[in-house]
Amino acid sequence: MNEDEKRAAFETEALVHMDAVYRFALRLAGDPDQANDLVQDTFMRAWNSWDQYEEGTRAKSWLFTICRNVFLRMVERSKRHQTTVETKAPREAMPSGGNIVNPIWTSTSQKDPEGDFFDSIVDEEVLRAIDDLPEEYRTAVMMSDIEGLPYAEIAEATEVPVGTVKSRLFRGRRQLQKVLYEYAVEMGYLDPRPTTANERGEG
Amino acid sequence: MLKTIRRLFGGGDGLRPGMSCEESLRLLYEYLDGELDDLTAGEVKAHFDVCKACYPQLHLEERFRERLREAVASDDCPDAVRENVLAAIEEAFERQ
Repeated sequence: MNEDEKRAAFETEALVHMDAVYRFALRLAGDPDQANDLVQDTFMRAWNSWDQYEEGTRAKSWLFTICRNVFLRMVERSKRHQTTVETKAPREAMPSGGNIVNPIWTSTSQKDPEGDFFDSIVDEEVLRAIDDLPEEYRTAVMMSDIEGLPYAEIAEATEVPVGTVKSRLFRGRRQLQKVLYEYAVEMGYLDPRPTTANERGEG
Repeated sequence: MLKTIRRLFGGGDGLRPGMSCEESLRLLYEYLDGELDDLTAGEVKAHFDVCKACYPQLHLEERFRERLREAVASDDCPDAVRENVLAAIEEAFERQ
């Protein structure tokens, strides 16, 4: 591949994902200036390693891998150990069958069974909840729920088994829903009281 | 009688043949994430389509994801960042 072909391929396969990489970087770094640096560094590294990229395959997850590695090195370099410790996900096994029913749904099933309360929550609060997730959960949720990557690609990008990806997604989503539910209750969008027999039309 | 029907048809609370509520809810995330094979996904969908107990839980999860996507959607890459990246690539290209 000559340089012109390399550039054309990079434009059509990598640069088209700039919005996605920026969104990912912003949620990782939590700060627009750092996200800008991350995006620039990610694409420069991708350009310099383009020969290693197999054309037509998983460019987005490859870029996310680079972006995340750059971010983790950035965190190390700036010695933000405290933040790293704070954002470590707890070591917990996947829940067994007892947790199949979503506890948020259990709390809202009488008054808001389909989760309408999510629509009442402002963007800033949703973003804050994402940013407060441990890095491992945040990365999995961003890659899956926002960017739609399959488990196998997330596993490859984050260098963990698929089972761990599933576990991180499960816990990340449940934690997010809990935070958003509590916010909705606090703001009065949801009534946390259990439904009475009268309200259910009994008696 | 109810138990017999459930045993015969493998159905859930809705007295239908097919996948049980427990199994469908266990596969809910994998279903929404597009990780199931077509046959299993079809069975899960068939259950959620008709089960009054499970459908709201599917809807809640869909609503939740939509809300996440909406909140993040406005974070497109700023033009200034895009221009910086393109300029840096251009410079690297010229150097080669």
